[in-house]
Amino acid sequence: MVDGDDHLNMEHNPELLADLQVMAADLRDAFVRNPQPDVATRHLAAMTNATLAPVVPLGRHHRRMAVAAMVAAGGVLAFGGLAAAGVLPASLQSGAAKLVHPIGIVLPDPGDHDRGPSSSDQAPGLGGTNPGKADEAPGQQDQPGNSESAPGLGGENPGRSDTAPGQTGDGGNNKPTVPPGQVDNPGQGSGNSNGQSDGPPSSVPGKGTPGGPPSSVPGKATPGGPPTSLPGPSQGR
Amino acid sequence: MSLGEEFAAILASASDGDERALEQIYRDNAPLVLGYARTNGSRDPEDVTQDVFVAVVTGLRSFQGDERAFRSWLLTITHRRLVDDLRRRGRRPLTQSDGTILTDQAAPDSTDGEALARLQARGVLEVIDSLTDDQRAVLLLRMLADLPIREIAAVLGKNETAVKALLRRAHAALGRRLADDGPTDADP
Repeated sequence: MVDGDDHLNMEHNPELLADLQVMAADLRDAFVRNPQPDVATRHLAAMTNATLAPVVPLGRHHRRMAVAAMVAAGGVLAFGGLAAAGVLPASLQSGAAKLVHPIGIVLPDPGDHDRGPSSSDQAPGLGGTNPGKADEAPGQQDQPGNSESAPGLGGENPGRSDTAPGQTGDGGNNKPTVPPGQVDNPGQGSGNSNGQSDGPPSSVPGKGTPGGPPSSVPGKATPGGPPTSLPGPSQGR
Repeated sequence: MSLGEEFAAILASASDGDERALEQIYRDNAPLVLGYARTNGSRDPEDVTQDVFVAVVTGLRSFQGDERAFRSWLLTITHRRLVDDLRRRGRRPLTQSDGTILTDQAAPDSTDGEALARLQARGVLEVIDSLTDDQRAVLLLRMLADLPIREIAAVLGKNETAVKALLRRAHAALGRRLADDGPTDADP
């Protein structure tokens, strides 16, 4: 207590103590009163209901609801994110894709792998013994796109006019006995040229197979097509 | 305002859901709960009182103690409900700016009117309005419920030293008011 209030201390001021006791009695008389009869009836009914059906406090109930909602929302977000990334287990991924397809959301579906070249995780034209890998461009294995290993070119000097199909120095008499790009081991003259796999070359669609779809993907041995970076005919002149 | 020796039996019956026992407990304690809510400035003291007694019913089985301990427990629940209520809806002062008492806080009848008139004439309600929440709570628990310091401390969740300090300050505020206005207001 501050110094100025010392004289108001109850122990030292019996007169004030008596005043406070009168005030306390007046406060009790004025405010501590029985509830109105209708109010008391309402309160007693609420108490009876509470004995019949103990209620969970509203705040706790709301907290539980909020926690459950947050957990559910987090689960949906996590599952949706994994599904969108296509990293769910195949069965779950397929189920999720089918589930959301009707509402216009397209998710990667592992069940679609065999349907065509547009599959997201398998490059077109790849198959056979070395099916496509998601992180490899079609027709590429180790060193994709080297200009020295232009498609359809074999030997040590790929892309030179004198080795290009039908463009040899003797006026084209030295035609290849196999269609362009389909030498014994198309595109494998150097032994380690790109665009090749170790698998059977001609059985792989789009890999050195005559008539295969032209492709802009480097390393593909498209027959008759100009080398992507080496203009063979112009060098032969 | 006391059930005395019957309290233990009434409490046991009320714990088993006996309506008559519950009503006895309500009739015995509702005035104090309602009065504490009113003087603390609750905007709806009757709602607070209902919440308190519903909470008492649901927690009655877990209570152990005598009648005095029961009253402290009841006031603890009341105080917590009031804190929530005041935080949510704000406190309504006992007196308006012109010094008149809010009519629905204490409707004067023949007996209560005299007490209210004295409190108003001496400016006691204004002083109570001017106290801090803690000072007001301590003062009212002391004046209305006649609780000792130790039980007030338990109700408010404070230590006894803090409660003593709060009560001293509240008494000092009232004493200053009485010292200033007492002689003139005391004479009607």
